[in-house]
Amino acid sequence: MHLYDFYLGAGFIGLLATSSPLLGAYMHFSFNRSIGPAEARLYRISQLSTAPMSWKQYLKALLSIQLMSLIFMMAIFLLNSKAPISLDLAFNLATSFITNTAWQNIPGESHLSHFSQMIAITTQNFMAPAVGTAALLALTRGIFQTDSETIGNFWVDFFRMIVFILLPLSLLLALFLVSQGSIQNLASTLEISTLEGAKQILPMGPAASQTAIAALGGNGAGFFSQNLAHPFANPTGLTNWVLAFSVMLIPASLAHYYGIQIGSKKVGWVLFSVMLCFFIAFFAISFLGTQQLNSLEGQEIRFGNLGSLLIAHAATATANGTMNIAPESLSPLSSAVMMFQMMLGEIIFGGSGTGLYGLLLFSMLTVFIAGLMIGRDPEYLGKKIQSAELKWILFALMLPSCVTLLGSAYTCWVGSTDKTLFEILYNFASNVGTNGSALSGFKFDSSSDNIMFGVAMWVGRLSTLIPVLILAGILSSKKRIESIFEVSTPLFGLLLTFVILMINGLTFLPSLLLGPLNEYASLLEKLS
Amino acid sequence: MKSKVSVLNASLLRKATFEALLALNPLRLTNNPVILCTWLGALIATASLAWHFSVFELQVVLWLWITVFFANLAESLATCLGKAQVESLRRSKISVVARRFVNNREEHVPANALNVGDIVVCEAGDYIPADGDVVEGIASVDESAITGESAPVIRESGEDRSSVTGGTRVLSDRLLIRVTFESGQSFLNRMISLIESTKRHKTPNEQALSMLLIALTVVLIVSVFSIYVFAQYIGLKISIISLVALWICLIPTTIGSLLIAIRIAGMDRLLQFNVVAKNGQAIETAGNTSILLFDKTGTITLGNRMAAEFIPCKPHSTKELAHAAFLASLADETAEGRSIMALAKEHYQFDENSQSIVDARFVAFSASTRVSGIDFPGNCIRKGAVDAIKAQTKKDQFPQELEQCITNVCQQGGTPLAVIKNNEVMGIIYLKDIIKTGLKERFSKLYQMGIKTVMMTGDNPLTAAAITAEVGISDFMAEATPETKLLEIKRAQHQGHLVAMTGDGTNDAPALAQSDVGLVMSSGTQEAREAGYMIDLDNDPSKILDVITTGKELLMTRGALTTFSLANDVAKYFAILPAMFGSLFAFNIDLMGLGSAQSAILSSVIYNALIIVFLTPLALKGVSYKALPSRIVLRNNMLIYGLGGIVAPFVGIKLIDYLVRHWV
Repeated sequence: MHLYDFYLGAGFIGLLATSSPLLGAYMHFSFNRSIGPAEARLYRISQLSTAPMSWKQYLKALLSIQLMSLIFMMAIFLLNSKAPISLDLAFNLATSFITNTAWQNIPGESHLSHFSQMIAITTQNFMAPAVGTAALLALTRGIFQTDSETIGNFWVDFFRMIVFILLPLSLLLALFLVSQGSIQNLASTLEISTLEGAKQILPMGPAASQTAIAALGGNGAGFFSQNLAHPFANPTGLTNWVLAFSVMLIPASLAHYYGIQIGSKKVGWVLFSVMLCFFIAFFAISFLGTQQLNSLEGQEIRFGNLGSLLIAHAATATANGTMNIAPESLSPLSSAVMMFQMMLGEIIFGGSGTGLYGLLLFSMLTVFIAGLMIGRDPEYLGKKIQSAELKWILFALMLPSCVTLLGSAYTCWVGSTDKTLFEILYNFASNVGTNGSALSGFKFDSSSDNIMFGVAMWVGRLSTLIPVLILAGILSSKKRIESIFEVSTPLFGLLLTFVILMINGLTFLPSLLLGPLNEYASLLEKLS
Repeated sequence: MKSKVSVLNASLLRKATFEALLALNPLRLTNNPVILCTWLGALIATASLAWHFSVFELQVVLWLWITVFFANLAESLATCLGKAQVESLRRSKISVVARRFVNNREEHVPANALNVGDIVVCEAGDYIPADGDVVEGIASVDESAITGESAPVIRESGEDRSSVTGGTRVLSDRLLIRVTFESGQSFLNRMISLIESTKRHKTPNEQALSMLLIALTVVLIVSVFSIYVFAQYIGLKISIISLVALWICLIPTTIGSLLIAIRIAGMDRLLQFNVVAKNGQAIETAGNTSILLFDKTGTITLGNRMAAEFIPCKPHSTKELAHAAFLASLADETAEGRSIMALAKEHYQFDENSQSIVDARFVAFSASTRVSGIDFPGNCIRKGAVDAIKAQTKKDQFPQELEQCITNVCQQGGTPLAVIKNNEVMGIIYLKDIIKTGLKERFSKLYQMGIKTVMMTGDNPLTAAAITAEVGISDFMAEATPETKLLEIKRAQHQGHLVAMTGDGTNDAPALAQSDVGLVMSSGTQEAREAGYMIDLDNDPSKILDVITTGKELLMTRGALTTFSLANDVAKYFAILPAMFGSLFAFNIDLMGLGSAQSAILSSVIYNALIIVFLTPLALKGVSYKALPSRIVLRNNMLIYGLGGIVAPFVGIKLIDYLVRHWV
């Protein structure tokens, strides 16, 4: 490890810790402001009511936009001009963008037209994170409201996330990327002659704008199939560092937004710290994993060891899934850690909204387990956690894990042996966790794989989203009792960490041992 | 009075063992899914013996069955202990002896043997054994325990004043009473039999916890199943028995088997305080209490007020005032009136028989006028509550200097009575409340628990404030009426508080029914007892503290054992996974240094079974609660049961491995 590695890392964490509270405060302001005249006119034209919704209405609005997006996107992909796309692939592609996964089972620059890229994909790059954030806002209201039948208005939440947060930030980031050399044009290809005199055809297109929102919104789709390893998307070391930061920024800021919204900034800081500690610890293990093998194998030479891993880790900790390296040839310990981050349910910063609500579910579970020990019925911020709530908390936390394991087991059972257990596990964890990062992803492109992973993404997305909205409804209608159990202390952070590790460790540790850790051990053995 | 049953006596243990063996029948395990799964696991392991038999596998199978047995034992032990407790409660003489009148002959029977329609005799000093109607006689009855009103009331046969209440005391004369309600004791008997049935119902918190345990069990089924498939895929051979062993060790068998025992033991602990809860939920709710309402009389003070001092105003002397007060109290049968006479006698040796008063006409004390007195030629003496006396005198006749004295008395927590003679104010009498000892500590404990205490009293605000300050009560409700009590409870509940209340009177019944935890004295009226959730057989209102503590202990025990049980899994992974997957790795991944793969698995299974036995006493006794800030309680319990839960199995499995490695 070099000294500049240390500076890069420390600067990264320092900037995140200082900027996320500011953005969180801005989010709190944006999400709570009263509807302005221009905004009101927009809702009127779209004939959308801005009245508060019950959880059922909220869910209906949310699902309707998901379904419409699915039909719309599949239609565009099926009409794609550059290359024919089969129905199952269209389903898989559309699903992957709508669920904020961006499991791209197709090289974008060579197969997708600019129209498909800009209308279908870019739209979803904005919409998918806004849907996740809306669900978080609903849950937050459920927690801080009392005796209320409603959990806010979906359209308002959805609109504001896109217009006030995502659009300005992505505009700034895109301009920055262009200034660093990223391309932004509507040309199709550029033919150049190399130094050796050979002809080379370079794909062109609106890469900077796509890359910016893919990083910020958490979809993580690459305009180029090499994603952030491509110099037109990620031209310099500085853009690499800034992109890694952008990937983490919104999920991190939402923790502070949450703290401000419920009236205790400390709670926000505890959640932020838990996520940050996980991130740092996992990063350290992974860094060690590559150092021990003493190679840059699988990493991007331009960015070096730290720069490569920074994006890889930011993207698997959050549900982003963008990549500037090749995880399949990385040290198995590093990619195992990346996989475990996804298996945790994408809660270490996680996707926009989805990460924090996952962490809130774990917070409630922690309160349920440890809360009894102060001699009172468990309560989270004054809301009692009883059977009705716990049922949905457990459902949302455990179903994705079960689907990951059973899906992998099914693939092992029927599959040919060209895939390693690690590859199967990694890709299932990525799809169910709606991450989109891939380990030898193109091995999984048969039409049955397309459908299976498509379904896995929907299950992964909806099996937490729907319970979260139900929970928001239940909590919102509840009375608030006097809160005694403190969730703003370091002790709670510690307990939360332990519960997350326990629940997921119990589920996934054996699989980790059988898959990547076993591979890593034999690699070490060969080296020594 | 504490009726204790020794925890371990041989016959009890035998009975519990027998019950536990019966419960190996899976149909009796349906209410305990985790243990049912353990049973299933043991069955699968047994079946696998058929095509793969070895001594090691036989041992694992045996220990799996022992795990099921131990889990049942914890529950049956708690049940048997509970039954013994109830029996001893039934036998104990907590009842009043009633004098039943049969064929013109008196016989002494326990009050719980009375039936509706029986005739009982009560004389001065007797407690009335049951609710009923007076059929013969007239007597003054002290109903202060029920109504809070210290003045005795007259009960006589006839229409209006014939109804008497069990638990009240006859002060004078003799009554014949026909029992109209089942007695307090038979009511309690019904309650006690209720305990048996309510013990079977899970409380909401338990239901939620069971849900967590079931969810973990299911996830672990999936996990273990997928291990099997993955292992096949990479060509690793794993035996069925080790998979079952892993599964049983990981599912929360410890808390699963102790959950029911914890609840039953909690109810029994309450019974040891002689408090009967109508259901298990009430105890848990008590643990959640954040506001406690109680009467001043009985809880803070020892029943009645006593005269402590005569304060004359000029130009009268203390002796003149004392004499006037003495005369005015001759017709006052209340304890307060008696205490005034006693004080006067003590200081000035007056004697009621030697008073040379002729043609005297007595004005008896009544609760409505709150005044008593005496008229004899040339004299008209009255004594009574200050505002009642003030109403009788002209406004300017009440001396200013006395106002200051009255305020002083009130601020000391006392009650002033005024004395007038021929419309001239002579002075006041200082009635003092006798405050129970040791209250300060109890209230500071409640304060530390984070419970707000509210005293309800009919006194004026000044007096109430003085007492609350002296004892350390958070708040008071002066001049309380049944309506204001009810409103206060509703208001607190609306703010998200859980309200506990102690009471005994009929006028408390609406408030008791509204409160979340109502503790009723067994001497209370039928209405009050029906309205409450718990009944205190010893009539000690301050026992609510024990009830709250027991509730907290019950919840804490459940939380502590859940945490311990889950934390245990860490070590079990460290022991079993290397044993199962060790052959895949080129170097030794067994960090615990156990004897062999087989000994590691067997040790874990044995530990898993034995820990249930080791924790059963804790489940029955309960984690003790200390009134500390919640942050510190959490930290302490986390250190003991969280950290302890991680460390204990490492030590335990390692020790068992030392013994076991020699024969596997």
